[in-house]
Formats: sequence, C-alpha cells, structure tokens
Amino acid sequence: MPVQAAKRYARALLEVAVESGRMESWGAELDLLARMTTEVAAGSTLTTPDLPQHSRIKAMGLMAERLGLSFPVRSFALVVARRNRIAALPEIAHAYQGFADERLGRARAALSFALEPSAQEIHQVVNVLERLSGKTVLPAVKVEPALLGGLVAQLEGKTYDLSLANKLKQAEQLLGA
Amino acid sequence: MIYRTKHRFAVSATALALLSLSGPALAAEPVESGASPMTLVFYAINFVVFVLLLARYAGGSVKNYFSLRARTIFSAFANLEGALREARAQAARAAARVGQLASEKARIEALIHQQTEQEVEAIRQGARSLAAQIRRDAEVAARSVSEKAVRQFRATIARRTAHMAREMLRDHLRPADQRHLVENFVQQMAGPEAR
Repeated sequence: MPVQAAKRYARALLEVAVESGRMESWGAELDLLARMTTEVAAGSTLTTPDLPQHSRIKAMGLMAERLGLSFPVRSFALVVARRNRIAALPEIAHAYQGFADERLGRARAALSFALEPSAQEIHQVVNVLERLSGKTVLPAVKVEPALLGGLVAQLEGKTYDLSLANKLKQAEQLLGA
Repeated sequence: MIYRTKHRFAVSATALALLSLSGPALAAEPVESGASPMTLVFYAINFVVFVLLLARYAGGSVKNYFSLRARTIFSAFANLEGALREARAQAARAAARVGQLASEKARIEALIHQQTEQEVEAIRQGARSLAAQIRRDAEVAARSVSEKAVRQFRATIARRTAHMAREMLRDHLRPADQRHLVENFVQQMAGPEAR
C-alpha cells in the first residue's frame, strides 16, 4: 500500500479522534490492532487471498472485539478490512502516531545504549533531546552491546551516534586512509 | 679494245709457234743414258702454252673472282674497321662508365652511410624514448605498488588495532565508563555544535 494512502486513513481517524478527545487512546488501540495483524498466525489468516471477503470482515470484527477496542476503532478496523487494507494497518498506525505527535508537540526518540541505562541516564538524554528539538520526547530504549560503549539517539530523522563502535570505526578509517 | 685484240692475237700466235716448234722435239730420239734436252724444251713449251691458254680462257674469270674476292675482303675489312672503331668507342664509353662507377659507388656508399646513420639515429631515439617510457611506467608501477602496499599495511594495522580495541572494550567496559560516555553525549548534545 502506498504511504500516501496509509496517511489518508490515519488522518481521517485522527480527525475523528481529535473531535472526540480520544486521540491518545485511539492511537494506542490502533497500535494494538496493527501489532495483532502483524502476528504470524492472525496476519496471514486475515490477509490470505483464499479467505472470502465476508469472512475476513467477520474475523476482523471478532478480533477487534476480543481486543476490547472502542466502537470507533472497531468500525475503522472493519472499514480497513472491507477496503482490503488489513496488511497496511502497521503503516496506518505509524502515520497516525506521527500525526498525533505532531499535533501534541511530541517527538519519538529511539535510544540505543551499550549497557542497560539507569533511569537517570535516560532522563538526562531525554532532557537534552527535548532541548534540542523543542518538543516533548518519548523515548524507546533498547540495549545494543555491539555499540561497545556510549549510545545512539535517533530523533526526527536524525541520528546522533556517539557510541564507541562508531568512534572506533572512524578511527579505523582514519588510520587506514 | 684494239689493244686487247692484238694482245690475244699475239698470244695465240706465240702458242701456235711454240707448238710447231715442239714437234721436232717430240720426234727426236731420247738419249739412252738420260733425258734429251729437246724433251725438256718440249715440256717447257707445253707448259708455256698451257699457261697462255689458261690465261687466255680462264684469266677473266680468275681475275673477276679475285677482284670480287678483293672487294669482299676490302668490304669485310672496312666493316671490321668500323666494328673496331665501334668497339673502341664502346670500350671508351665503358671505360668512362667504369670511371663514373667509382664516383657513383662512392656516392651510393655515402648515401647508404648517411641513410644508415639516420636509421641508426632514429632507432636510437626510439630506443631512448622507449627506455624513458619504460622507466616512467616502471616508476609509476613501483609507486603504485608501493602506495598500495602502504595502504594495505595501514588498513591491516587499522583493522587489527580496531579489532583489539573492540575486544578490550567488550571485556573491560565498566558501568562507570558507560556513565561517563552518557554524560559526554549529553554535554556534546547540549553544546552549540549539536544544533
């Protein structure tokens, strides 16, 4: 599915969510639904061409109900299934998240640490990134031993790599040149 | 013409007279002890007659023959003289040509020598140019090989050094070091260059 189409779906849902004042909760529900469709069993069942259309819609409705989604999000899920766009749900959820963050003045940062970080370290990094971007930063933290030391932060399409692995790579290139 | 007729007549008369004189000589008895003088006279007269008759009747032909023969010989002699002159002229021309051949030979030798020198010089120049080109190529190749070796050496050293550093960091990085690195990150990101 083209990105533009996913953005259209996401923007439509976001407009309704803003009017309802449920932007955050619907975003979380949409994210949950998207993650379910990417699960191997459920996703392959829902997106297989062998499944009749009415069965696909019915299965999507059942899944949304089991997940306890709100009525508007369930309806949105049925629309997506009816338009045969179930496979695009992760892209839609991602676009929705981006629009919501933009609207709320937020930015998401992927933080990779070489060792398990303390809460204080995460706080320090988030603070400095917030000062840098002028937005509220929502961190997604993970540990990557391959970094050897330090951390890598990705924020709004930019990568701030001050890891030892990167420094070693630069030093190796400098020495080998 | 008259003279010739008189002459013939005289010759004929003389021949007849001699023949009439030889009769008594033939009639004479031979001397028992040897030839008679008359016999000798007879033979002499006969011989003279024979000669006169021969001159009378065959003289013209013989004369014509010898005259023709003389003309032929003179003509052949003239031809031979012409041929001799021609041969001498050709010999002179040949001698002159032989004389010219020496100078021509010298000229050709000089020309060949000059051309040979030019060829040798051209070959020498080509060889010098080729040698210079080979030298330049060799220098470039040697420089390239040397630089490549240096690059490879430096790359190997850098790779091994980086590998050793990675191993050391993996084994010896402490939480305090990581904290220090995080603080360093925060300081750098807070700095103006991060913006």
